[in-house]
Amino acid sequence: MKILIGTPINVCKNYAMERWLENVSKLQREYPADSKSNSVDFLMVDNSPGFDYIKRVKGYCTKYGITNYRIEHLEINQQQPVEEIIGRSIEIIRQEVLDKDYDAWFSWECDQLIPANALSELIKMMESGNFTIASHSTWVRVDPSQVLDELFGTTLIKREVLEKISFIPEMPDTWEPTDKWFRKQVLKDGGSTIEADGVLKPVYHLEDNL
Amino acid sequence: MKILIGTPIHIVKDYAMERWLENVAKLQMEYPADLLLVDNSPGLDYMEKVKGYCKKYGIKNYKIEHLVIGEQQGRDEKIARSREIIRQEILAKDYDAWFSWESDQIIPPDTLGKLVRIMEAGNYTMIHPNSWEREIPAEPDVNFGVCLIRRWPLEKYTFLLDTPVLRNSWYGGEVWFKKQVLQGGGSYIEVYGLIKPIYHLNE
Repeated sequence: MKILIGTPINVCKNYAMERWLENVSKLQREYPADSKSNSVDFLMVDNSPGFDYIKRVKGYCTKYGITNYRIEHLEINQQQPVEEIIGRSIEIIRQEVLDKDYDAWFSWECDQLIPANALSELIKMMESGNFTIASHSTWVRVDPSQVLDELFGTTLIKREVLEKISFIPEMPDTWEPTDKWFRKQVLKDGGSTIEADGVLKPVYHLEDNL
Repeated sequence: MKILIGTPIHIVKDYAMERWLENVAKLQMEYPADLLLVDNSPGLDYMEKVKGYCKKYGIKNYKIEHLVIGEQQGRDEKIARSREIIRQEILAKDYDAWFSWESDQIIPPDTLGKLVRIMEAGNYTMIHPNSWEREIPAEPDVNFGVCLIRRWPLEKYTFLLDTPVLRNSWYGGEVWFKKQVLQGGGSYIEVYGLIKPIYHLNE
């Protein structure tokens, strides 16, 4: 599969960024990018104020040997609600997936550390039933004993659904239910999802003080 | 996989029973599996009625056990003790998995085959296709209503309400069971939109 790792980033998550990019570099090495039809590219959409944070992230990429990546900057008023900022960021990712003929978007939030084989496992899950979406849970940041019921944290999403569903302007007013809203659209359209706990081990959802 | 369809039944669900057993007959034709019904109704009369339904729909590969339990006991206690009988049957008869399928859920006949295929593809421990709340069809209902569970966690964890965690909550018992599976190194899968339609029958 030709896959795009697409992730909104913001300076407020800098506490996790270096560890996450180290994780990205390991995952990119693990996934066999052996041809144009089997590859994984990487797009970050920085919605921080100004351009300074992009330079810092580029430094992390250099440090961990990540060369196959792009960073786009989304200029957006920081007073906008977080759902607006995230919605517009993932819309940029969606357009990239459509423009460049990717087979799927790997939605991977920048505060989640996952095993290097995670992408291969998600592909296996997706292919086990020709699912539209394959997702893995993580924990609630402030309470690791609780499973976080979300869809976009570590999730592989087929292109076909991105061709039909935009993240703006239909997106509801809160980003947390947006994933549930998105799943409903997928199911209404005849798609399917597979959502797992305990397949990827370990998964860390980084908190600022960890 | 050698699978036991194991279902607690009660006369209060008789409104769904005939349709459900017709569904069981169709599913068994697609994927051969044994059927164990654990009746926790008062007295033995309801078993006879259920046997009549089985005969009507040509179900021969089944067993019915009767659980004698005080009607004043809570529903959670009745369900837990019924599930424990099913668990013991799985352990005693070398089944590879338990297909937990509540008697008010109508599913496509190819459901079990699909779930087995996915379970084996990823070596998953539990797999649960979404159903819906009986009263709110738009709300996903994630419980043992339709769920395939491998043998190994059943070897480790009981359904008897002998822990404070499980006491007085059969739904909580399911959540507790899932947590044990994950803590024990297993995995849990939910699938949406693959098994369709699923009808959760209301009276």
